[in-house]
Amino acid sequence: MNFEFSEEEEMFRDSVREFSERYIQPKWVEVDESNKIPYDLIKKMADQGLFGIPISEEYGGMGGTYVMTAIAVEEVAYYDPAVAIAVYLLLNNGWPYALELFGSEEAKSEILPKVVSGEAFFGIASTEPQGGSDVAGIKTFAEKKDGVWILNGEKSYISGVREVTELPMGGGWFLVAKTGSLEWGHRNITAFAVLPKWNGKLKDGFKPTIYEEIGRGGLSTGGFILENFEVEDKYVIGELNKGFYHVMEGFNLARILVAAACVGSARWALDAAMEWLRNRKLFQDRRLSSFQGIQFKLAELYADLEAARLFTYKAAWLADKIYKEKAEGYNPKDLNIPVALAKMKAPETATRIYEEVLKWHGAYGYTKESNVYRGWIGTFSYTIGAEGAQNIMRIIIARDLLGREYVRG
Amino acid sequence: MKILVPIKLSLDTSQIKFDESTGEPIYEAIPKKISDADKCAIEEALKIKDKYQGAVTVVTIGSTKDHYRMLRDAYAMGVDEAYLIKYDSPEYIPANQVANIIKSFFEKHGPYDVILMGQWSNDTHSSSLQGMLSSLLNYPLMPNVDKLDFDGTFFIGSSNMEDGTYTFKAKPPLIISVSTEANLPRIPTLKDILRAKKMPINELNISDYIESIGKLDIVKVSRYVVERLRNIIKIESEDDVAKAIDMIVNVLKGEGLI
Amino acid sequence: MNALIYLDDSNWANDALGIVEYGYTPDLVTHDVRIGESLKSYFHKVYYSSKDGFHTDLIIKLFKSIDLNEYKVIITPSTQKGRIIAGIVSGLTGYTVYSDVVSIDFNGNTLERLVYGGLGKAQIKFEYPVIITITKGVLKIDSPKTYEGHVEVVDVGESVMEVEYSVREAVGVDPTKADVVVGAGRGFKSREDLNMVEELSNELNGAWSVTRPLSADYGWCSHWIGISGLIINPKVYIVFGSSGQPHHMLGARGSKVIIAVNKDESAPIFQECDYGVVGDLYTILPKLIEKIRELKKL
Repeated sequence: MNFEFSEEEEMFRDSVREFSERYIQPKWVEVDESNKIPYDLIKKMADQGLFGIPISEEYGGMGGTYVMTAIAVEEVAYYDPAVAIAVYLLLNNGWPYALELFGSEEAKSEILPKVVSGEAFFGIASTEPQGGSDVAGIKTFAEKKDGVWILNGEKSYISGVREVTELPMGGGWFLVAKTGSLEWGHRNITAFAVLPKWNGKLKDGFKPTIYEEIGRGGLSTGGFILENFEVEDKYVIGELNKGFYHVMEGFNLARILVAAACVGSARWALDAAMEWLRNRKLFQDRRLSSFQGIQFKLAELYADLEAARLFTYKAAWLADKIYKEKAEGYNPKDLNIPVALAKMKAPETATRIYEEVLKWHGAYGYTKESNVYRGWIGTFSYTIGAEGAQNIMRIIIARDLLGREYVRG
Repeated sequence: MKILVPIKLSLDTSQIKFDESTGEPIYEAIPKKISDADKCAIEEALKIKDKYQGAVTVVTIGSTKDHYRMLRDAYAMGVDEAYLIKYDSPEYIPANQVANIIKSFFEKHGPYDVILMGQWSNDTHSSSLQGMLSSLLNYPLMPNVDKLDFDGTFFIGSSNMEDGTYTFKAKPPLIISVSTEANLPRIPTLKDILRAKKMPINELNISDYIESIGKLDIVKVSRYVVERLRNIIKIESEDDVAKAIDMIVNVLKGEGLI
Repeated sequence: MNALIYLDDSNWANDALGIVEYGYTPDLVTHDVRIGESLKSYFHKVYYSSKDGFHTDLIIKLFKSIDLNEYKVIITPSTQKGRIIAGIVSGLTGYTVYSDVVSIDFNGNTLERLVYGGLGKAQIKFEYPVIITITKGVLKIDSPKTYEGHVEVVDVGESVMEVEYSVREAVGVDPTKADVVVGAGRGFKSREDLNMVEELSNELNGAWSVTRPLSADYGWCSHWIGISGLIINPKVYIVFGSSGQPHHMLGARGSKVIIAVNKDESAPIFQECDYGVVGDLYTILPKLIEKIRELKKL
């Protein structure tokens, strides 16, 4: 076993740290306050190669591993604890990589270079007003007419709605829709690369709304209605009616990066807290750090953080075995449990860490000036369930442990 | 244009820790990294290479994993050749011997049109190596440059010394030292890092570059405590504010400034 | 015993001539003829070059024309140019250089020099002949001895390098020459707030400056105090909202008295000040300006 990162992984981590210290750290509060990531920061990240980490060089990417992708997301999240920038980064690495795995050559050559260059956004559009976890129950419908797919339906709680309309090239999502029949089920879903804005032009039949969320405002969340929205056949991702399975693999990949973001942000919270604990004095000049109760809690939280981190990197390592190395004996399904563990553990650990850190800061933690709350509220979006509800992760784990037949009663 | 950049692995002085009882630095706990000014020197050399034809060589003295990593980082930035002159404790070699080693290297592997180096290292700030190389090689020195320009023929550098601004203009061959104000060094991309993995670190025997090596007789290193009065008033009430103001005013009066 | 001293600033003369108290006869070498002329009566022999200006190739020629074997000790000031000159002489002689010397025991053959950007000091055993770059106060003498002052002008010819020198453009009083300097650190929230700093410096007929981030990162001032910026030595340096990072303090250490105001009591600056106030600069600074104006009216 080898629990060390390789030299190139360490060099890459250092390069992302240096970049983030230089360009992200000075801006993260402003991004969170103004609810916007400035385009010139996105361009800088693109120029640094951060949007194409796992994408192959053929499509303009860096040809790196998924472990390296997780490293980049973790480090960016450390310098952007409110995580909007880290999430922008992870979505535009994870879902384009899923496109590379399943999409058509035409779609890949057209879309991927534009994501890598920072000009386009490519995320996930699965959730609908009537449900997110229940992917089999989606109602957006895609019908083929005269060689073109016509889509009708509504998606909600989608990241990047505003960004898609504002970026120079545009972009869109890895979107899942029912094909053939609207019945509840797994075998009548197809995945599409839906690009409501492309080549700078907004297409007909796309009606977006932006929501006002309680946190992580730097990256927009919104919904959109598709009204006879046309999608060319080349944008079908993977096989017809196999979209459910493709998107689940995509979710596995994205969830690894979500865990990495939560770990990075929580790491910042602990580091910031330790500075506070070392310097804050009370009860006759006694340092906060000298109280054993605080020490006990710190040690427990650190253990949880390191555990979440290990889960994250193990899942990333496995993703590389399956998708990059295509190693013998490794199967996409093998990723289900390691990812569920990481996605279950990391956001909840981040939430617990932030809660405790805020308490240590006392009244100061409750002020905007301390900035700690931004990370709490940002990572909480993942405890609520973005990119995969926490209880669904539990069901996945329990079902695998007990066996499918035994979880039905 | 052949450019030589001698670089030094220094203690990261932003992370200095002293042992409370002995007063000595806890060396194992202090990370090492390339001197900031040396990194700026590499960046300046690469800027010349980007614009005009050129080859950039870096050389350092050392033997640890950190030295190899420093050279690998230099490759990731874009240098063409990296050399490691092997020696276990380079920090004890007197600076003028380091200069002689670099001179030998220069003669064996050069000649180089320009030696670009950092103004000083992070840990010693001696700034003596540049002068030594200048007199050993008899090359003019353009020192402590904050802004360097090259038009293909002439180098123009401006430096901010204590007494004012100096602007230097000279043709190669010459030695240029740069400050950390000169540029913001490039951050290698993942592709650069993966490519650097394949580049060779050329190991050299120090005995081929110098006959005998001395050792600085360092008796002790300790925290430098500046003697100051340290009369501190902590504001906890309005009265304290008045006290503090009075204290400051009295000092100013005492020095004849009010 | 002879000592050779390099100077490019007459202000440093009294900080090097203390060497005479150890029984050394001092000689001067300089590339600035005005300095040579103004100080020659304090030196036995004075060498200066036929061409002014910091041309390192000519400076090498200047030193080559001197019989450096005569000297047991060679001294340069701990300035940017001084360190370079020390290096040049070391290259010519092979003698070891010790930079930023803060104390020296000529008989015991040990000296202490600054390391780690001023955070640490190293005690080292040295051998003669030695080249030292000294900080202010190490070899200070109030009334230097007088000597014959033989002048030797060395013809160094022409340089391959063009060198232009311009005095630093100071907006207002030059912090490196003022008796009182007011400093501002990251405790200040905006450029407008620095107006208070300027006001205070005006009331005291002094200068003002900032710490590096306020200049290099925010662009609120064209200069800053620090090892890579201005080195100041006023009678009083009063600094608000600075934590006292080593790079900054190295620029300010020459101050006779340092007064610091910062709301963080654990800030390192409180170790390096003579008088400190742990409080909010936004309370203290305006009140200080008010009080000074009151006193001036009386």
